[in-house]
Amino acid sequence: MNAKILLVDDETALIRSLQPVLTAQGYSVEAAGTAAEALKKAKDTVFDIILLDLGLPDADGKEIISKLLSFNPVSILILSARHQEAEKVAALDQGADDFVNKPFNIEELLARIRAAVRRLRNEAVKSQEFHSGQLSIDFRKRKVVLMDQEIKFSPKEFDLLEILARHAGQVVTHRQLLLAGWNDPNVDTQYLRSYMALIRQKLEYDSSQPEYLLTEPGVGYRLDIESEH
Amino acid sequence: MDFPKLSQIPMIFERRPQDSARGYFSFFVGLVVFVAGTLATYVAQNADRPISAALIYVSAVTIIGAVNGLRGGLLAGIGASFFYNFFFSEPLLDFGVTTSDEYIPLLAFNLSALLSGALAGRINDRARAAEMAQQKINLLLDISNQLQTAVHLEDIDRAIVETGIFDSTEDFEIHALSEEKWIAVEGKDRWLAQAQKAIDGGDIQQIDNQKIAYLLSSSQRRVGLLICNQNAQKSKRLSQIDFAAVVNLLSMAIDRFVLLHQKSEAEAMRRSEEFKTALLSSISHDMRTPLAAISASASSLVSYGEKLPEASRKDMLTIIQDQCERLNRYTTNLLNLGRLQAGISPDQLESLDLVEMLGSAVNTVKVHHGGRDIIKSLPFDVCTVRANPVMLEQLFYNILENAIQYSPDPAPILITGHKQGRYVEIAISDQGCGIAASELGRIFDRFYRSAENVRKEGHGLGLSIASGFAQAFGGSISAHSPLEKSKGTKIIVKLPASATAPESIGK
Repeated sequence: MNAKILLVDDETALIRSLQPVLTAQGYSVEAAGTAAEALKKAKDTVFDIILLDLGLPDADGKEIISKLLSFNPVSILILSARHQEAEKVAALDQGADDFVNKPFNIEELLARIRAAVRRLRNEAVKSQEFHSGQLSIDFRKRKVVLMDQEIKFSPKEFDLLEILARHAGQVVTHRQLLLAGWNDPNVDTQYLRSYMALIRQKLEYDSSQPEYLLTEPGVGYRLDIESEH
Repeated sequence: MDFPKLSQIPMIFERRPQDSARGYFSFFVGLVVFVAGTLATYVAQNADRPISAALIYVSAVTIIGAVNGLRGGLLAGIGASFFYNFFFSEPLLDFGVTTSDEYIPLLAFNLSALLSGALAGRINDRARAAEMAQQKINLLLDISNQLQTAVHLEDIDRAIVETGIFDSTEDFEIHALSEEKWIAVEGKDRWLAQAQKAIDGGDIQQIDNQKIAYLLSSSQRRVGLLICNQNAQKSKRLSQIDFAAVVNLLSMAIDRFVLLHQKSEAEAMRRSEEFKTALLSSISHDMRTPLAAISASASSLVSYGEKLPEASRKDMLTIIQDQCERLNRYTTNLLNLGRLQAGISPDQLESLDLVEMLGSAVNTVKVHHGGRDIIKSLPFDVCTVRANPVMLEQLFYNILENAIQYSPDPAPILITGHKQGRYVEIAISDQGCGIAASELGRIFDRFYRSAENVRKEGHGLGLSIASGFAQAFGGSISAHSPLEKSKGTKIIVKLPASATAPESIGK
């Protein structure tokens, strides 16, 4: 535990609200108000997670993502406005892991941070299995068990479910899903929507009101289940 | 040899009224030449030189024909043959034309008169035609120049009036057609409804026995209409063909106006789009940022309140309070922007005491940005202006808030003022970082924030609203920076001072 977080936002009021709560959660938190300050701190210290606001005064947040990633392996979470889908997609393409829409609830932010921390740890293990409550997935045997019942998934459905499960709790972009399912990012997202509908029918209680496989409008999908690892 | 065309011959005989002075002079010359020729012929005849006598007379008639034209020449020819026949040739004092010898001088005199007169007339006529053509070309060039430089419809109208084609400005109407809408030039719109019915018939349409409508078109596109009172058209100055040229020039001018008009409308649309984009991005940033802080603080207090130290809890509550105030200020300014967009009517204005309103603004600023010294040094106790009280307070509040935000903490803000003619000037100076020369002109633009100060809490509306209000009150705002050693900014508010006593005093 005790992950290190760098909070990058030019709004001091937000930093003042977040810092005590994150600290109380056991994270060690540092803050930066500008891109230059963020780059300097990320160079000197190894952070696990960077919370990055895209609207920084001295640079576009997107532009510093690859630089931040070049220093040390780190998980970047974007703080942005809901309507900036294009910005979010661009930031995720640059290598950011996830995003949180402003304004957000602290629980939402903490859940995203937990998912990011878990993914950081999981990647080290290269887990072959996914377990969460009633859902278990065996990636090697390509087996899905929901409420003690095995559910048949077509190969493509399974490929899509696998990438979502490996990023459990985090957003997976259309592009990432298309690459995983079709090995081609330029495939019509209409196919993707059809497959997501099929997966929802198998996973969700009511596929028109999904609880686990959520749509992130304009960006991608999120499997909102916390894995038990 | 090409003789004058049949249709031109009557013009040779025509005596133009404007030529009368010249006409009398040439008549006199002709008379002198005739008398001198007659005398010379008489002398030659008496000296028994009949051939010389006849030749002298022919020469005289030729000269008269050349000087006086066909009519004078013929008159001289007839006169010469009469004199020659009657006085000089045998038998004397007898006008019998019996032998071929007597026909020949008669024929020779008249033929030379006819030829020289016709030729002289033609030369005269050519010269006169060239002169008239020159005048017309000058007139058309003049119209063309004026129409080409015309940008506004009123310039086009004036150009047509100044050419003098029509007796008065009431004798014609120009209508421009822009995007299916008719625009009456100079508001003259008496005949359009009548003309519109006729216009589908063709390029030139008689509307009634007085008015005629010309369709103005450019590159197959209708651009307008010229309707004129044809009786008032000074046809002497312009033939139908030349008038068509004027109509063409007018079409081009109107076409250019229509294109410019559409372009400026497109420009206005683009600006309005830009404004909407700026407004949306401002709302997105300036609403969401405080909301994010409020939401983060409030949800933290709800979920983890007990686990947080007392100081943190209090800080979060302060954050919520501050950010709510910030949101309130922002929405106030957005609403003010809406008021400015809608326009401020004179009945929203009243007589106010500027000193009182300034004091009120300073108090409000101190509540929100306590601690900073604001020093007032005004040379008058009362100064009446016509303004809206809420807007006037907001105007000074915005400038003061800006001055506080952009200057280091203990440095005081100075308010000075003086009356200058009909105006009163209030200057608000800070000791802040100043404004770069390149940015001075833009600080009153909506949503403008200086590149260096993008981090500050401002939303780029305050000064723009202050400026909008000042203009609505008949005044203006200007910025001056740096004041000394590349530091400090002075914002000067200039408002018209009125003589009447303020209504709000004592309220």
